[in-house]
Amino acid sequence: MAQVALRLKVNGVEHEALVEPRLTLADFLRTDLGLTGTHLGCEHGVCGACTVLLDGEAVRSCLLFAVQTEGHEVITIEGMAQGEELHPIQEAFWEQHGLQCGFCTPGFILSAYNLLQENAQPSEEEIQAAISGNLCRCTGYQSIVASVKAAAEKLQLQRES
Amino acid sequence: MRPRGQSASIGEPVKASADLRLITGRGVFVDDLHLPRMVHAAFLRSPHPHARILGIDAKNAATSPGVVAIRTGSDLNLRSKLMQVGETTEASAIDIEVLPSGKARMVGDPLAVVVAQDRYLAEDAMELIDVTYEPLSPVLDADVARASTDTLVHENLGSNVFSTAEGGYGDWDEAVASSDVVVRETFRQARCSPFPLEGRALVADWDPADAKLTVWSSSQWPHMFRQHLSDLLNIPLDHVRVVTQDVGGAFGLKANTFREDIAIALLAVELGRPVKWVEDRRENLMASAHARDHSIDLEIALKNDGVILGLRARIVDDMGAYGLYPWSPDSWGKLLAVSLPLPYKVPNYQWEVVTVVTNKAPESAYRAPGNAAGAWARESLLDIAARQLSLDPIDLRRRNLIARQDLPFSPLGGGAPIDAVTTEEALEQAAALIGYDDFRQEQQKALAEGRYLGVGFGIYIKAAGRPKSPATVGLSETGLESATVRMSATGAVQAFVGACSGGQGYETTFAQLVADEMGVPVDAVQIQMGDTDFPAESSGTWGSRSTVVVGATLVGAARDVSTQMIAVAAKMMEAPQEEVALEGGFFIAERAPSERLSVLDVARAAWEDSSLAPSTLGTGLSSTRHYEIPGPTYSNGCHAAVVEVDTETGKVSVLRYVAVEDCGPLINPMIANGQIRGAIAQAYGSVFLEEIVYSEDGLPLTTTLLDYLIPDAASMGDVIIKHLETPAPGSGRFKSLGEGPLVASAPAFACAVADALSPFDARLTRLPLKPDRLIEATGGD
Repeated sequence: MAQVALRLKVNGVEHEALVEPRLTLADFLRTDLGLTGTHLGCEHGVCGACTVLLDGEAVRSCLLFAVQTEGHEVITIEGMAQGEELHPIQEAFWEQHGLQCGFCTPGFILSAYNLLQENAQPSEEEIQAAISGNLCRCTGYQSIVASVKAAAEKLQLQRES
Repeated sequence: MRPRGQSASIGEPVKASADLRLITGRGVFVDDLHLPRMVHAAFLRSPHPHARILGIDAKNAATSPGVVAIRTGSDLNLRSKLMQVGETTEASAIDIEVLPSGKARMVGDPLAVVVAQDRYLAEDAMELIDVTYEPLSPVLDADVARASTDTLVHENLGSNVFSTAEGGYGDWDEAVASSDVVVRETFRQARCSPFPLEGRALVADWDPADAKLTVWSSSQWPHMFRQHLSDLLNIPLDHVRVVTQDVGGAFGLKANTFREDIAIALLAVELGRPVKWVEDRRENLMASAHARDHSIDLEIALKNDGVILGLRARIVDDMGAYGLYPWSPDSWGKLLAVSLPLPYKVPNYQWEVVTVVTNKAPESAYRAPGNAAGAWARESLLDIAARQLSLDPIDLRRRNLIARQDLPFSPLGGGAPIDAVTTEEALEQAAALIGYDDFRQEQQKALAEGRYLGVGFGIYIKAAGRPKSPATVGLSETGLESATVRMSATGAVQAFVGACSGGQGYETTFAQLVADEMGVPVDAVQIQMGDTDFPAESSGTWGSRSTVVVGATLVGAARDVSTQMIAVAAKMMEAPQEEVALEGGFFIAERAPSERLSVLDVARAAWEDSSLAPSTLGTGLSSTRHYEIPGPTYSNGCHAAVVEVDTETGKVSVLRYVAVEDCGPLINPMIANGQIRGAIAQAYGSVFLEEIVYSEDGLPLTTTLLDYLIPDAASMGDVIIKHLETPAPGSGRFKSLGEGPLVASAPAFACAVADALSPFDARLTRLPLKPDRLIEATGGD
C-alpha cells in the first residue's frame, strides 16, 4: 500500500515518518514511535484507554488515522511527567491509588488533564461526567474520581504559589 | 531492623509500587513487546453458530502481501494432544482440537490462523481465505438443547447434556413435611463477560539452540500454563518458560488455557521466530468465553417463624460449545450448588446440576463463579419468603445465620470447619450504617410522594486458599505454592512468588508482609513474580487464594531468613544466638551492646564468608517454603443498598451503599478498599447492565462496547466501607477479599430493587434488571 509522508510533534519532539494512510494514530504511536503507554482496549472508540491529547484536546487515538495528525501536536502519557517529576495528576493517581491493573489509566489521566484545563474546580458530578467516556473494570471508579479531585487541588495550589 | 513482630507497614495505606510505572506509561503488557523478527497472527473465525466445514481454500490468501504462514486444523491438530476436558464419573470427555476441523460449533470458532508481518496484513490475508460451510441448525436455548437429540453439538456425547450431577445432605422431603411453608422461584442469571480491559494476549518464541519455548502471556497462572504447554505439546517442563508481566485485568478469564494459545505456540516452534497474538474486543466478547449462564430453580422450606428447614436447587448451566482447558465444564454449576446454603444453617439440602451444551461461546470462571449468582438467587428467595411470612427480612436472616455460638461450624455438605467469621456483627453493622431502623418510615413517606425506595442485603461466607483444587491438573494432589525469600549481599530483600498481579497490588502487599516479618523498610523488598524460571511454584491467582496462600508462605520464608541472619550475626559477634537482638536497624549482643552490626554487614558477611554460613548445606541467606496450611480460611461480609426506582423510566439510583467486610487483618486498606469497590462495580454491572445476547439464529449481538454495557464513572457514587478484622485461626492470619464483596453486592442491589417494587408485587427473577424489565414488572409499558 502506498505510503504517505507525515510530520507531527509528539511529546515536544518533531517526527517524520512514512505511513500507510490506514494506520491508526494509536498504532503509529505504539509501533512506529514505541510509545506503548497508549493502550488499546476496544479499537472502536468507546473505552477511552487510547486517549491522547491532540493540540491539547483529548481524542481517541484508535479512531484517528496517523495521517490526520499531519502538522499537529500530540501528547501521550509518556509526555506528562517532566523527567523524574510527575505531573500533579499522576501524583494524585498514585497517592489515591486511582488504578489497579493500570491498563485504562493513561486514558483516564489524559481525560482528567482535558477536564482540568477546561474546569479547574470541577464538582464530583462534573468529574464523573467528564470521565464517563473512559472505562475501568477494576476500581469501581471512586478512587479515580478522588484522584481527579485531588489533582484539581494540587493544580490550584501550584497556581497560587 | 526492628524487633520481629512489630508491624510497621501492615495496616498502613502504603502507596502501590506498581502504580508508578503504570501512571507513567511504562507498564509492560503483552502487546507492548516488540521482539526482533516478530510476526503477527490473526484468526479466521466461523460466522456460523453450527456448520460442517467442507473445505478451506487459502490459495489466494497465501500470496497476499506480508504473509508468512497460514495454518488450519489439519496442519496443527496432530502436533498437539487433544485438550480433553471433563472426564468424570458423571460425564464423558470432550476432546478439543486446536482448530476445529470437522464442524464449527459457535460463532467465533477459530478455523484458520494467518501469520504475517503485521496485524493489518494478517487481517488482509484472512479476508481472502475461502471456507465452504454446510450450515447446520444450532441449539441455543439450554432447555431446548436438553430435549433435542436431532441436533447434537458433540455427537460423541449422544445428547446435549454434558452431565447431570446430584448431591446434598439430610432429607429434603422430610424438611418439606415438617415445614409450614415452601417457597419456590426460578432465577435466571444472564450470560455475561468477565471483560478485562486487556483481552487475551500472548507472544511465543522458540529457541532451537536450547530447544526452549518462551511464552509471554497475560495470565493468572503462568505455572499452570507452563504445565499445559508442556503436556499438550510434549516439551519437557524445564524447556518451557512462561513470563507474565503486567496484566490488564483477568477476573477468571485468564485462568484457562485456550486453543489460540496452543496454536500460537505451535506456530512459534514451526517458524522459529516470535509470534504475537492479541485478541481484539470483538474476539473477546464473541469468542473468548462467557460466564454465569445459569438458571436456578430454588425451593426453600421454612417454619412460620422463619427457621429454614431445607433447600432444594435445580440448576441448569449453559456451558456453551466447549469446555475450557483444564476445567471440567460442569465446575461452575457445581460450585454454585455447593456454595448455596452458606452463610446459613440449612439442615437439609438437595441439589441437581444439569450442564447443557449449546452453540455459544464456552463458559469461564468469572470472579466468584457460582457464588455470586447463587447468592443473588438465595437472598432474593429469602426476601420473597419473608414477605410471604410477614417477617422482617433481617429477622429471618438473623434466625438462620451461622452465628458466633455455632463456631467452629462443620458444613453439613462437608469441607473444613468454618471459624473466625462474624456474620451477625456484619449484618448488624450494615443494618445500622444503612439506617435500617428508620428506613421503613422513610420508605413509607417516599411512597406517599409516589417515590419507590427499597433496601436490600447480601450476606456471604467465602472459603479461600484450599490447597486442593481441580486446577492442579497434573500437579501434586495438594495444590502448589512455594516462595523464596533471600537477602542479597547488598542488603536488599528479594522475594520470589508464583502468583501474579492483575491489579491486586501484590507487589506492595507482599512486600509489606516480608518487610514487617524481617524488620526492614517496605521499599527494601522487591517482589519478583510472573516468571516460571524464578524459584517459586504456584497454582495461580484465582479463587481469592493469593493473599491467603502466598502470604502465609512468604511470611514463613521471611522468618527463616531473619533467623539465619541472627545466626550469622551471633557467630560474627561470638555471642549465643538467643542473646542477639535486632534493634533500630542493628544486631546487638546483650553482653556487648556497643559492638553492633548493620543489616548490610551481616548480609555481606553471610554471602562472602562460607565459615559464617547459617547451615551446613550452603552459604548465604535464603529460604524456600511451601504452603503448608491444611485448610481454607473463611472471610465474610454483609452489604446493604438503598435504591430508588423511577417507575416511569425504569432508572435505578443507588442512594446509599454500605459494605461491612471481615477479611481478617488488613494489610493495606487502600488496596483492600479498591478490591471491594471494584467488586461492587462488577456486581452492579451484572445486576443492572451486562448481558451477552445471541439472536434466535445464534449470532452474537453484543460484540462491541456499544452493545455490551459495563458500569462507568456515573453509574453510582461512593460506598461506605467498614472493616471487621478477625484473624483467621492458625499460622496464616490473613483471609481473602477478591471475590466475597461481589457475592454480597449482587443480592444487595437486586433485593433493594425488589423491595422498592414490592407495592407492585413485582417478580424480578431475571437479570439484568434493565429499565424495560423494571417497567414491565410494575405493569407499565
